[in-house]
Amino acid sequence: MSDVVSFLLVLTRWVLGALFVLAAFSKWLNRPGFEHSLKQLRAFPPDSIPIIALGVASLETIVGLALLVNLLSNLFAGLSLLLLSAFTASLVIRVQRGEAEGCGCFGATREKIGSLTFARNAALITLSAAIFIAPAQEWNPWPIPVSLIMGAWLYASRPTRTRSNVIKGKAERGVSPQQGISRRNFLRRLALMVGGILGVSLLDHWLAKPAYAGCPYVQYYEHYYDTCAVICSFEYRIHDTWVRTCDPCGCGCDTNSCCGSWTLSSRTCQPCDDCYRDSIQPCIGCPYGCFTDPWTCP
Amino acid sequence: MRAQRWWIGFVGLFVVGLLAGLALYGERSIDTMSTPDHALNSFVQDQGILYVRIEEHQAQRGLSIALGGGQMRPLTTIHEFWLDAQNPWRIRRVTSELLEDGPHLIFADGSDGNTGWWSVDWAKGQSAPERGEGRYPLLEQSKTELSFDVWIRGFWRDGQTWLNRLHDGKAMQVGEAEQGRWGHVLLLQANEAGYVVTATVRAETPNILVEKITVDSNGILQKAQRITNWDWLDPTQLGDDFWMNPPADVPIGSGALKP
Repeated sequence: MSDVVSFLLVLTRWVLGALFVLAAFSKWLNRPGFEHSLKQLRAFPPDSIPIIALGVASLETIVGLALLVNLLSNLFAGLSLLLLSAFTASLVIRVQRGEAEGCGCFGATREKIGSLTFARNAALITLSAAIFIAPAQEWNPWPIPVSLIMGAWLYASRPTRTRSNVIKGKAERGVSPQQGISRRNFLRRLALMVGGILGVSLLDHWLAKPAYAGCPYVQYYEHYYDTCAVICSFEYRIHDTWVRTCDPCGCGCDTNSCCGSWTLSSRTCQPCDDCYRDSIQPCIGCPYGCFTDPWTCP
Repeated sequence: MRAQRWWIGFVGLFVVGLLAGLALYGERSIDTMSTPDHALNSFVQDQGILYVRIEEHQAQRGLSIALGGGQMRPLTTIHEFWLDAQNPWRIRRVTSELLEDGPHLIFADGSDGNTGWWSVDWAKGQSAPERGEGRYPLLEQSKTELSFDVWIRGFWRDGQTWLNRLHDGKAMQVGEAEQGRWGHVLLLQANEAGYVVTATVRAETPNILVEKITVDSNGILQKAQRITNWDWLDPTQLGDDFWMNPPADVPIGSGALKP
């Protein structure tokens, strides 16, 4: 896999994760609106609507965060695929009923259902599918502070108060402007928190063990000479084992870019009658494709 | 008392039967393992020096022993044998790699068949022959007899394996031809693990595997092995020191080349 494709996949994952987190937060912040959208579907019993709303918002949060921090990204990309498919199906049902008002997407109760909505969902489904089928990538903690900033910012839009909020009395529902902290203090605390997390991420980036813990740093290549009676005696053929050391930089086992030279490790004689095959040890746990070479038996 | 005798008789008969069976099985094994007399025709003579040269070409994954490794690349290895039909202990084997500047010896051994032997193995770090007196310890410790047939069997083993696979339906015949010194040959093919292997096997005994070509599913050559020489030489043409020395003109190991 080229670096460009790899980077695009990371970007895709971040975008999808961020959108899911945003969508989840908007649902958390405007649960009545989302519940209203669910009611409009007329697919669930009224009593179960709050539970379903809570469940969907929670699931979106988990999926979004998991994609951002690259935790079991294939699995959660599959989940996002299912979620988006379900959302799209519900939109189709509503359009068929002639209900175009109140998409409920990202908690928006006023957005109309239109071709743009479907196009957006189709794009998100494609992104999810791309991550779902792509090989798992390296653990990456960098989006953690980004996602926390996003979440904190969204949260801050409600409880914090500005001078204009206080004056105009525009604090949102249930929160008195006097109860919230000032925006300046909030930003100060936010900066401290983000700084701390960035510091931890940096330490993790430079000091932590290589991400490819499952990648073999010593790779083996077994080679059998075809002809019996060469070097070994009569009933035996030579079996050479070569080894090379691969860097933890990515164990690009399908190239020689980060692996050392092969050196002969051992030479033995194996019975000619046994099934033999040349082989290269596969790169277990590598993010990139490696070749295994099951040679034929004579 | 009578019952005891009956048991002794039964066990005795059983032991005799077992021994007879083992003896018969042993004879049969020897028969199948040795070269039949009719094989000793012009192709396999009972006197002279048999010179066999085998080329093994690794098209993709060659790692040079002479250079001590490095990166995988195309590599051709040559195996040469000089075998005395009248004295199977008199031998000379040379294995060399064809590198940019010519052949480089990686293994060689030999014996005059009577008083001494020598061996050099570059993979073991030997850059000069190790020498010994008496018969060359070619055989396993449990064996003492060495016949010329044993050498021949080393070359025809793989051919027999292919014929067995043809018989078992694990390989198919894709052609046949008359090929010079080999006579009537069969072209056999088998698909295994994504590779297509085509073997040319001598139809008559000894069923030498003359050539084996391995290509991948895209038709790209992976391996090729062929016997390029099977010649009978006059022993008097070989010098006195021929059997007891490696070829002087082939450097041992990497020689001037750097890994």
